[in-house]
Amino acid sequence: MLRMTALMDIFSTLLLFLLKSFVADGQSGTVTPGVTLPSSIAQQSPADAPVVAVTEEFISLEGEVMARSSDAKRSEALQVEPLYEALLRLRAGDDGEAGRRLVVQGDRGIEFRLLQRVMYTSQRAGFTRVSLAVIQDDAAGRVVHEDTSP
Amino acid sequence: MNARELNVTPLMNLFVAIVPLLLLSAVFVSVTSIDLGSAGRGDTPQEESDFQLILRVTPSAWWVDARGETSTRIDTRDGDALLGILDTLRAAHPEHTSVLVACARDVEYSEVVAVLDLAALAGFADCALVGLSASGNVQQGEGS
Repeated sequence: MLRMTALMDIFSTLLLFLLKSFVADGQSGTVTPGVTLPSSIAQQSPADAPVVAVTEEFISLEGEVMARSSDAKRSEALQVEPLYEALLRLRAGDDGEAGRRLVVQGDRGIEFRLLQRVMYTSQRAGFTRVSLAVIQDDAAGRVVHEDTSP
Repeated sequence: MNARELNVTPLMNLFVAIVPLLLLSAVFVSVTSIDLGSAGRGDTPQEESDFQLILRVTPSAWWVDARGETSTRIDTRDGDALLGILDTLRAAHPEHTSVLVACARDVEYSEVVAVLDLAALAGFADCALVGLSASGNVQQGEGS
């Protein structure tokens, strides 16, 4: 019979490691398909809140496409109507502080005007605590000075 | 001797099935978030002080406006220069942690995040995002 003990050791360690990362990430770390998040030095884990994804093609809420980005960019109004109505429905009956949270997953290549429209819309709908989802990268853009980080 | 050894084959089968499955679903990049604060919404006690810091981000340059004091132009993507100025301002106003980041419409989102990062690095923990009109005025109340 083959000696399996060493292989078993490797597999047990790998299994535990993978299970741990699987449990720790959970659902909050899921990025909407089509979105390439920008890198940042931020360390805070994302809030468990509704996700608005913004790309060059579409604006979506919880995976459901709300509006086309080209239409939103062309319009003079800052408010994106379909998104506003969906956010209001989501907001209905929840006046707590946690209900004001919203996570925006913006593609790194979008223009600020698109983000501005989404943020304006969410604020009008009562979501006042907006977080921007980013990919954690300690070397984002520059060398991080540990002593000056907050 | 062989007869006393544990039969690990079923366990191995399980491992061989589970390990690739978990490897495929594992996420090797960690998603974090930047919380946009309440600066500029008028509900922070810091509004009492005259000092207000505004970072204007345009495609051609970054501007650091310390209200009532100075306005400094920095070349886009010169993170070290921006960090240097922010550090100086932070040291001069240790009680002030909020900054208003005003972005022009055609600035790329990754650049916005880079500026937010630099502000956080300098110790300005409370960042708010607002839009910048075509004429260069800060549009209060739009954005966060």
